[in-house]
Parts: sequence; structure tokens; C-alpha cells
Amino acid sequence: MKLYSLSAHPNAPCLVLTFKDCTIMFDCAIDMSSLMHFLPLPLVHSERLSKLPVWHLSEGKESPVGNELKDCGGHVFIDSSPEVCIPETGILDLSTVDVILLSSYHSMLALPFITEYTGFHGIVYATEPTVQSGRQLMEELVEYIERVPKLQPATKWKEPNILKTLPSPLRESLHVPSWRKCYNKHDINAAMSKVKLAGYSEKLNLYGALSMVPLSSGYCIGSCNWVIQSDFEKVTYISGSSLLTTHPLPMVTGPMKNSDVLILTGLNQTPTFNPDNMLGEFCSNLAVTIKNGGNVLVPCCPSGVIYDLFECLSAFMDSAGLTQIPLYFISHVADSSLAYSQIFAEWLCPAKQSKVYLPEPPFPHGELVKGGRLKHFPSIHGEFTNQFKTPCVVFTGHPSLRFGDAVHFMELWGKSSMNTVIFTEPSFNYLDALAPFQPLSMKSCYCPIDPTMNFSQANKLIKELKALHVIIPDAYLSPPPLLPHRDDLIVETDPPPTPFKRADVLTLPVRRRQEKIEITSELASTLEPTEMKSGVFVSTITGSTTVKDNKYVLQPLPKAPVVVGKKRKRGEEEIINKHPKHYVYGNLDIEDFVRNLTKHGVTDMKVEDTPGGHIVHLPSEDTIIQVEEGSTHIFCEGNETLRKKLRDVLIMCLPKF
Amino acid sequence: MIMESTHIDACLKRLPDVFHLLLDSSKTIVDDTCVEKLLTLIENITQCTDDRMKLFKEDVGLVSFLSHVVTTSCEPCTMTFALKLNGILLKHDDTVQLLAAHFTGIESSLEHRIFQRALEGIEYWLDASVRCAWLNSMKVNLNYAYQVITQLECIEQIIACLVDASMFVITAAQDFTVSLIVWCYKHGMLAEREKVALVKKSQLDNGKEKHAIDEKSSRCLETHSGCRETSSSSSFIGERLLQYMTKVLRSDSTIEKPEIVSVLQMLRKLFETDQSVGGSVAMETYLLASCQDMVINCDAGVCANIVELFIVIARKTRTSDWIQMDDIIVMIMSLMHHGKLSPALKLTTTLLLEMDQQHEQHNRLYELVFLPLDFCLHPSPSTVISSSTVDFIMAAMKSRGTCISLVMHSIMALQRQCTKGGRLDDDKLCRFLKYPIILLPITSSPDRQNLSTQYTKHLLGNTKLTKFLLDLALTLCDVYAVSDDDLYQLSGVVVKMVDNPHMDSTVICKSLKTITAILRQSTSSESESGDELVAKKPRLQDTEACSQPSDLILSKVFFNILQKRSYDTRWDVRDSVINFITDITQLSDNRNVVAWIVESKLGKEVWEKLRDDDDSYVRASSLFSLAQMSLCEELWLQFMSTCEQTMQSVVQTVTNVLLHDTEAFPRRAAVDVFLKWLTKHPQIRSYLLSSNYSTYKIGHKVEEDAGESNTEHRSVFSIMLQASHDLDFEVKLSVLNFWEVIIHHYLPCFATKNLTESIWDELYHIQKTGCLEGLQSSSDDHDRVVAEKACTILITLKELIVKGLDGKDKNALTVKHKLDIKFIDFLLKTDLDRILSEKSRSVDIYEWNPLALIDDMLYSSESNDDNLLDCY
Repeated sequence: MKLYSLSAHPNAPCLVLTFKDCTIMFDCAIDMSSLMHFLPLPLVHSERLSKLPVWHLSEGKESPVGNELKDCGGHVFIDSSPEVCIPETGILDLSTVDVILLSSYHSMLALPFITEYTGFHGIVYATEPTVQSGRQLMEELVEYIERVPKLQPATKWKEPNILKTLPSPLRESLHVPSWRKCYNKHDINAAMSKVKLAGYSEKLNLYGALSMVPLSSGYCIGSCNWVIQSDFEKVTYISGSSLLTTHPLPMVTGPMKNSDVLILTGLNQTPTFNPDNMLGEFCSNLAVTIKNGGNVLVPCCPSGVIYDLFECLSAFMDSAGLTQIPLYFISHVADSSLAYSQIFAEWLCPAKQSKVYLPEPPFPHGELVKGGRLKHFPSIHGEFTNQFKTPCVVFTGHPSLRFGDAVHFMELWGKSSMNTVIFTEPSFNYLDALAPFQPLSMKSCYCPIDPTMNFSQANKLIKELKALHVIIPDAYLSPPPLLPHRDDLIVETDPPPTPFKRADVLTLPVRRRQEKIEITSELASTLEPTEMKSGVFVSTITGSTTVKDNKYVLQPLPKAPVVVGKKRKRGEEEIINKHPKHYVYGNLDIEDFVRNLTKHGVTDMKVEDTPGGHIVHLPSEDTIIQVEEGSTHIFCEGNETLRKKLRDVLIMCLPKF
Repeated sequence: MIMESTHIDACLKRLPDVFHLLLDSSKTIVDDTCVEKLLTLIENITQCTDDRMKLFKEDVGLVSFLSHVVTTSCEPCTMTFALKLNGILLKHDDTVQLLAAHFTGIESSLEHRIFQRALEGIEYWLDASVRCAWLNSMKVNLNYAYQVITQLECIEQIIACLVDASMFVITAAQDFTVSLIVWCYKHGMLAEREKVALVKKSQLDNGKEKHAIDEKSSRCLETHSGCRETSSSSSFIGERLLQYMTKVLRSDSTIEKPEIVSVLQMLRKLFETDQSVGGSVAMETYLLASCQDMVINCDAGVCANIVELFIVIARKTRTSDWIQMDDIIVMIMSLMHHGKLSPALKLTTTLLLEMDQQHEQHNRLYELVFLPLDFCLHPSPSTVISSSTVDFIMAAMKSRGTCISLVMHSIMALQRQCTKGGRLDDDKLCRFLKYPIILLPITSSPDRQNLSTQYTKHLLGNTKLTKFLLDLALTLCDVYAVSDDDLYQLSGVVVKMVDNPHMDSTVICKSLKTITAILRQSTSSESESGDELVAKKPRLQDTEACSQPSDLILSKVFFNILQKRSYDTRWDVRDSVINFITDITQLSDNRNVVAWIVESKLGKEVWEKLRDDDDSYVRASSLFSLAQMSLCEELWLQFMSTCEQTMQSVVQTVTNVLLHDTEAFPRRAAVDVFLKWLTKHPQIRSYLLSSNYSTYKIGHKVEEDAGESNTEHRSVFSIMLQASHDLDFEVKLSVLNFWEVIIHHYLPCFATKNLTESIWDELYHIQKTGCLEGLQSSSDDHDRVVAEKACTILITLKELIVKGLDGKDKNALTVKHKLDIKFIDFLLKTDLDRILSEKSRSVDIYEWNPLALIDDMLYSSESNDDNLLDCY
């Protein structure tokens, strides 16, 4: 069993597991931290951004990268269409991947890169909300980037001899060769056509060898963890899970217990920020800004926590006397996001599910839209300009502040200290996001709302699940870089977990020792068990094994057909007499074997001990006999006579009956 | 309570039926409460000698009831009743004699036989209520009790009650034995013995502890024990109790822990009752030595009781002749060196308060109490404590639980020192302040960057410690004059805590109170010179430029923090912010504070919370804040300007709250606001009293369902009349306070009782407001306290009117001064005193109508309805 880690970011995982001749990919997320190095794409021409000075390595010298890099407030940014860091493609032939299992819509954004550009021809499994919301996220991403095209792509800066001369943090950017421009809508459609839907606890079959079961993870609508099982082995993959009581179905952990391997990723990115407190802080900061006559910008994703924000904020604003303040939700997929959230009732928590029977929509944003308090628009153009009034609260993308309508609002409102931008997404460092907009008069507030499991919850869960081996990203073995003194923010297990980082290939210490095989009733009736000791019966069995769809069946030996004539009869006897005379068993005594070889004239040999057994080398014959527990291999270069002799000696040395 | 004789006679006539009911096991008694009330009734009857005697008449049946209890079998609850009845009768010598008169000799007197019956009847003594009643009744007359115990030889059974299964029996047994011991000493039953004290002397020699036992004392111990065995029977009971206590205290492992705890509790009660007797018993039982032995191996429960006992002893150490301060210090050291650090600190705290500051050990004990806190500030604090003790405490503080417990005790000791320990000098004050300044950042956040020593990691994020430290900081700022530098550091820490969104709401509330105290102190020393203050810059400035604590608080940064908290999702945080604004508004004599409030427009925050907040407490607090703000002219004007309000519109808003708010708290607050304006704000008072609609039409019925638009045309008096029908009694009480202020305003002689000629004109003004009609209707209010207050006011008015009428023609006067004759007639003809006494009497109907109790008991005994049986 091997595990390939194709991603560096613990919260943007992409892992490949090879198990029982099957190759399974868990998630294919995009690492968006690369976006921080790019200049924002303003929808409306920005004088300020267009007039940024070109970055020069030293005074007076022409920049080797031309106009690709710009200087903004001492920070260097790439003036090009933003690029994202895709999973590593060099350590494994991704066309051999049999199946891709998706956990949530956050971790599938790299799917078109995998399915359309690597020769992938397998199947993709995901839950229906994951498919719909994932498609929305991808379409929004493409829309944001394509609507502000850049004439010239920036490529020179990536050259290694130039990259090393660039200033920090660009110079230290990780995995630059894996940075790619975004895909297009055609890629999205093609990728989504390969997706098959799966339901919670539905048992999916992979070529008869493995079963795969998605279990609710409690993180977002439709998010799941995966349990991969054979008859005797179990692997659990946990990614982005939550133990909080929010709108998705709660996390299911029962079937995950006692796994051979537990792979854990996607823990809380802001463990020192309590989501409940952050929600309160979000509300109070918003209220203060609005009361002072300012506007609030909330850069966010079009689904997920935003539903909870609408619900809490509307109630809070009512109690604070801010009912008349409009809420705007601007996104290419705003309409579909709000609509789909109301119809995926069976993927929601029981409290929201029961509302459906009243009947009431599970989320209150439907009523907010109906009442005109929440207004959604596909973009800032068109109807929005007619209805826009301030002070207001705007929810729009992208949380990186590198593209999307949020860039426009930052340009529009950034000069006034009355306005506030509140960051709720934990995936982006808000200071890095704001860097290209400096100097900024607008107030900024960091209230990350990350419902995923924190470290103490993860440690507790690992203890409860009692897996034999735990595999985690190596970042979880040490405290976060910004909190080096917090030694409680690590994953601690006994025995210690196995870490992985990008491009690592781990051989997992799971040895398959047993496989299930069915025996036909006809053959079973021929068995004559003998009691060896109390409760233990032994019987010899000779049959023919067939493997079909990874299922092993033991059948009786085939009967020879009726023939006429002596020649054929002799041939038939050979077939009929396939039944062996002896059954050998036990381990080979290497000294006895060497002695017997010497007796049979093989004298020139060297015996070498290996960790798994022995190697007997016959230099003159250029032959190697590899003896290990459970297997013996004779490697000889076409010398059939020698091979048979060695075989016979070998059998002679083994106990038999 | 003195009962009317008619009531008593009527009750006595029905008592035989009740006694019969109690004896009849086939009948059900409704519940225990009725039986207790019956006993209260009988006790009330025995208050008067004559009535007491009536109880013993044959037709009352009391004696036959008691006789029946003695001679026949009855329910345990009946026996309990009989014992308690016995206890009531034993309080008076004449009743004791009357009981004894029925039989000759103490041994066969009725009450004696009841005690005997209860004690010896297995079916009775097994019941905990019987045991409890037996002990409590005996305690009433200790002279009698001593004789009974001697006769019945039941001291062992009493001792057994000290470790009873029932907590109530244990308490009763302890109380009884303590009373008995005190009585024995006072009546010479236990003569003072030669003072023998077995004292373990602990000497600290080069860090080692030596225990020296007085050999002479140990020989005396043996002699003394022998003496006890030959004591006379008259002192047997006292001796037995002492012997028992000594045995338990000197016990080995054979004595169970509950027994030890009970004896220790008994001793504590003994010391609380009579210190000198306690001291004698302590010597007799070798208390000090025994406790020092016990602390070696005892568990936490026993140790806690030892410490509680010595805390009581320590309070009187100065006047005690059996124990010295040094003995208690030895006990403290013993506790410490046997790992009982928290109890040791607790005892030390008390001892420090009792100890003379000049005592040679005072400084050492002082250092000991605060050592855990010092360890949190410095890894190796300099101290006068011996190194062995220091090492011991250091080792103990490595455990998280112990560390937190010790620090908690130290903080509590500090708090007590600040409030009760006398004046602190500057060095101590500075040192005490360092603790909250350095520790609050640690206890209020899990961030390890603030750790000062290795021990403070245990205190990370501990909310309880944070609250204690804030209480300490608040006490220090309230009681002492703190240096600006310390105030500045403290304010920096506390402001940061208010800014933390993860902070507990109680911590935020305490932090804001601390900030108020800091501000009060910081601004109190500022000059009031107008010229100087005008020349000063506005207060909203960046914190980097600050050097004064008031500058840090009266800054834009803190205002932003406060504003954010005013929109916190937790109601108690919002309420704390409003209360903070109210508190600092009271510092309106300080120009800087006023300037900051004005520039920050805090009035607007208050106004918005009043109008929009969905929590009733926040709205109520906003009203109080509004009232406080109105008392400072500059703030008031700025408030009205910022909120675009006029005085009339503000009054209107408060009126709307009074009439339409769905919760009682804001409505109460609204009336209080009007009261405050009436008493303290001349301008608004003038407006309220001279309203265009101040003429109140006599007999005009207030429209109870008047909409908001109608309130604009109504005077405040008609609003108050409507509010006097509020469902909440406190609103109605506040309205009566309002009327009282109106009366005081128009009728000066209401307070002075010095009648003037103008009383009738003054009454007319009062009448115009509708006050009189309001009072009249409130005098019959179904809320008792409201009716009482209304009656009290009306009685005073009546007295004045009667005085004023003196011989004059009532009708002519009323016509001349346009007074309402109906009201005058109501006052003169209504027996307000009777109404007041009726309203004032107890809500317990049985207290003033005991016959109803007896009737109910008898009636319910016949009824089989389950509902009736559980109506109390």
C-alpha cells in the first residue's frame, strides 16, 4: 500500500492511494496561496494599479523580466492573470488513477486539471451538493478571471536564474513550476461529465476489489469523509470535518473506528479564533461601521459559511435597529447558490430538515430575499447599479481580493475610514490580501470563521477511532509558524503519526496477509477435514482458482473430455493427473538446502542473509535463488535443466505430505 | 405575635379534635407544614401566662394527648409532634410544673416519660425526625435535660447521634451537646482542671523541623485520665462528653472520618458559642496536640474542618489564655510541611488579620501568604521564608491544580488585607498592584507569550482567577490612592481585555468597572481651574502620545473598543457598556471626562440602545444613563444636538417606554427617570409641572388603550395615573414615589407637619395633578406593598386635613378652594389604619386566622381527594 502526496497545503489536499492494484485519488484541490503574489484584476480600470512602478532589481538597471513585476508599497506583485498551484503531476502517472473521491466542493477545484490534462479515464465520485456547489465555485473562478483578461502572460520571472534574484516573499514561493493559469468553462463541463453521484453511507464498488463509503463530515453541505475497505483492511480518509452544530448534517464517525490507516487533513486554520466569538465580533464590527455611516465589504465564497452569516446577521441587525440596511450578495452564481441551498434539505442538520415538513425553507435567506432585505446580483453591472444604496453590507468574491467584484469595492471604498472590510475566510492571510491596496484608509477586521476541527478535537477523535497507523501532513507536528509558542496546537498520538509533505511517497506499513476466496459447494463437498487438535480441523484441497472482477473462486479441477485413441488418452492422462503427488509446507531450512545442493553437484554458491530471508547466489551459473518467508524465487537465465534440478532439491528439503 | 383572646378561645375549643386526629392512625394529616404551623400556634398561645394556663384545662385535651402518646403506640410523626410540643412547654417553668403535677417524681413526670418513650421505642428512635425533635426539645431547658439524661442514662445514644445517618440529626446533636457542655461548665459540673496542655513545639533549626514533646505534660496526661474515671456521677455527663471528644481527637485509624469531622464541628460551634468554655475544653481534650497529630495523615475533609476550627480560635487568640499566636503558627507550619498548603494559607490569612503588625512573626507570615503570587512574578523571589518552605511550595506549584488553588488563596488573602487589614503602606500597595498588572494578561488569554515564570503556564486562560484579580484591582483603586504610573499600566491591561472578543462577559463587566475606578482616581486629582482646562487639547488622541491613565481611557482607541462592545451579541456586555457610560457620567465635574463624552457622542449610543435594543435590561440601563446624563448641562445639550432631539421629544420617548414597553424593567426605569427629573433637573421639572395639559379633569377616565399618537396630548400626570394600573408592582410603587414627590413639592408641610393657611390651595394643586385619585385607587390595590404605601401616604394627608379642618366647615372650605368633596369624605370616613393593618398583616393566613388552620386540618382528614392532600 502506498500513499502519494501531491499537495503541499494541508487544507488543499490531493493524495493518491494504491491499494490492491487500485489507484485512488482523494480530493484534488487548488492551492490558492499563489494568488497573493499577483496584482488584483479590477473590473473597472484602476488608475492607481495601472500606474504602479515596474520593479527593478537595482537602480538604473533594466528589469530582466520587463513589465511583469510591479512594485506596490514595497511589495512585488506579478502583473498577469492570476495562477494557481495545482497538485504535483510528476511523481505518478495520473492516467493510472482509477477513481477520484471528492470530500467537499472546496477540495475539487483542480478537477479539470486532472481529468482533462493528464489522460485520466477513471470515475469521479462526489455527493450531489458537492457537485453543484463545486461547479458553481469553478464557474465563478473562471468568470472572475476571464472577464478581466491580461494581454501578456508573465513567464520570465519563473525562470530559475531570475527567480532567485527576486525579493521575498516571491523568491521563496513554493512549487512555482506547478503554477498554472485557470482552466476554462469547457474544461469544467468535461470534468463534471465524469462525475457520478454518491449518497451518504452508500457502498460504492471499485472493480470488485474495494468498497468506498462516503460519510458525513459536518463541514459543509454534502461534505464527506471516505472509508475504503477490503475484506480485511480498512483505510479512512478524513478531510475538512467539523464537530460544531451548524447547518450541515453532523459528522459520522462510527464506521471509521479501528482502521488500519487513518489519513487526516484539513484541520482548523485559525485554531486560536473561536467561531462563535468571531461571529459576535463580526456582528459588532459591522454594526459599528453601519451606525457610523460606513459600508461593510465581506469578501467570501458564494456558499458555505455565508448561509450562516445571513442567518445570524439578519437577526442581529433586527435587534440592533439596522433592519433597513440592505444586504447585497454579488456573484455570478449568487442566485443558484441561494436556490440550491434551499433544496438540499436531506443534506442538512435535523433541525433544518424538520423545517421542510412545516413547510418552511430551511434557511431564512429565502425570506430575506422575498422581503427585499437581501438582494443578489450576478455582477455590479446592470440591475445592481439601479438598486445600490449606502450604507450597505456587500457579500462578494473573491476572498483573496485578487479578482472578483471585491476588488472593485476595495477601490471604491478604500479611501474612506468610515468603511470596513471584514475577512471571514480563514484560507487567506488578510494582510497579504490587503497588501496591493495599501495605503488603505478603510478599516479592516479579521474575524475568521472556520468550523473545522481544531487540534484538541482532532487528538480526541484519533484516540477514539483507534487506528493502527495515523498519517498527517507534517505541518501538524509543529505549532503554526505565527504561533511558535503554542505547543498545544499540534497533533499528538501514541504511537507517533507518520507525516507527509508534497511529493512524498509513503509505503504504508499495512501488509495484506489474507484474501477472501469462495469455494464452490461441489468442491466443498469433497473436503475431508481431520481434527488436529480440539476445535482445529485441517483438510487438503486441490482446485482451480479463477479471478473475475477481483473475486477469487476455488472450483474443482476441470474434467477431461472423452476421447478416442491412445495418443489422446496419454495427453488426457497428463491433464487428469494434474493432482500433485505431494503437498509441501513449512519453511525452508537454508543450511539443509545448501547441503542438498552440494550433494547434487552444485558447489559454487554463496549464501547471503537479507532482512526478509536469504539469497543463494550461484555465480558460475549466473543464478540467484531468493528465499523469503512465503515465497521462493529462482532466477536463472534460461537454463531449464538447472532450474528443474534446483526445484527438485528445493522440494526435497521441504516437509511434505 | 400576640393573638386576640377570642381567637385563642376558639382555637382551644377545637384543639381536642386536632389531638384526636393526630392520635388516630386511620386519619391522614394533610402535610408537615400544617403540623409545624399548629406548633407555632401553640407557641404563640404560650407567650401569655394566662393563655398558657388555659392549655392545661381538661377540655383542651393537651395532657390527655401527651398521656396517650406515652401509653399507646402512635405514628412517628405524632411522636415528633409530641416531642416538639414538649419542647415548647419546657420553655416556661410554670408549664413544666403543671406537667409534673400530673405525676409525682421527676422520673414519672409526663414530659420525662415522653422523652423516655421516644428514646426506648425502637419504632420511634429509628425515625430521624423523632431523634431530631428529641434533641432540639431537650436543648430548650438544659437544666431539665441534664436530669433526664442522668435518669435515662442515655448519654451514649446522644453521642451516637453525632455520627447519625441524617445530617439534621447530626446538627441537632452537635448543637445540643455544645449547649450541654457550656451549661455544665457554667453550673460547675465540670470544674476547671489543672491546665494541662500537651503542646508540640515546632522549632525551625537550619531549615529542619524539630518536634519536642513536653515529658512533664505527658505524665500529667496519664494522671488526668485516671482522674476522670473516678469523677462523681453529677459531672458524669460532661466528663463523658469530654472523654468521648478526647478519644476521637486522639484516635488512631480505628475511628471513622465522619466521627472526627463531627467532633471538630462541635468544637467549632463551642468556640463560637463561648470562647472561654471552648478554651477549657481545648485544654481538657489536648486539642492542639491532637490536631497537630491529625494533620500528618488526615484527608482533605478532616483537614478543612481543623482549619475552620482554628480560624474561629484565631479570631480570639489575643484574649485567650490557653493558646498563643505562636501555637497557631506552629499549626500552620505543620499543615504546610505535611502538604496541606491551601488550608495553611487560609489559616494564615485569618491569623494575619488578628495579629499585631508588630509581632515578630507577622512579616514572615505575610510573605508566606503572598509567596505563591511572588512565584508567578519572579522565578526566585527574595523572601524571608526559610528555604525549605520555599522549596516545598515550589515543588507543590508544579502541579496545575495546586498552583491554581494556592494562587487563588493568595489573591483572596490579598483582598481581605485590602479591605480589613488596615492601611497599606506605599510599598505594599505598589507590590499588590503588580499582581493584577502582570497576571491579568496571563489569566485572560491562552497566549503563552505573556508567561513570566514557569508556574504561570498553569494559570493560562483561567477565567476564575481573572475575575478575582479584577476584583482585587477594583478594591485597590477604590480604596487607595494609586500612583499614575501603576494606574496607567493597569488601565493598559484592562483595556486590552475589553477589546478581546473571546473574553468572558463577566470579565468584561468587571473590567469596565475597574476602568471606571481608575478614571475616578485619575481624574480626581486634576485641577478644576477653568483657564487651565480650556487651554488643554481635546481628549481624543492616539494612545502612543498618552502618559496618563485617563488619557489612555479617554481616547479614540478606547472609544472604538467601547463602541464595538456596545454592539456585542451578549446582552450582559452591552448592559455593562451602558452602565460604564452611566458611571463615568457621574464624573461630570471633571472637564476632561465631559469633553471625551461629548466628542465621542456616547449619548447617541445610549439613545440608540434605549430605542432599539431587544433586551429589557439594556433598555432599562439606557434609561438610567439618560437620566444621569441629563443632570450635566453640557452633556445634555450635546446629547440633544447629536440625537436631534428636544427636551419634549425625550420626555415623550420615556413616556412611550413607560406605557408601551413589553417588559417591566424598562417601565420601572422610566418612572425612576421621571422621579429623577422631578427631583434633580429644574428645567425638565418645570416642563413636567407646567405642561399645557396639566389640568386634570376630575373624574376623567384614563384611556387605557391610548395609542402612541394620543400620548402627545396627555400630561405626565395622566400617564402616571395609567401606569399606576401596571401589572408590575414595582412600577406601581415607583409611581407612588412619584406622587409622593409631587405632594412634597406642593405641600411643604407634608414633611414638617407644620400646618399653614395655604394648605387648601396646595391641596388644590395636588388635586389637579390627579395624585389624590391615584392614591385613592392604589389604597385598594391587590398588591399588598402598593396598598400599604398608598395608605401610609393617605394617613399622613388625613392627619393634616383633620388638623386643618379643626372646627371649620368642611363643605365651605371645599367649595372655596375647589376641592373634591368626595375625596375629603373618603379620607375622613375611611378607616385607613385598619386597612393598613390588614394589608400589613402576614400573607400567611394562618398567622392571623389560626382557626382556619385547624378547620382545614380537620376537613382534609376526612377528604380522600389527592389534590386536597397536597395543597400546601
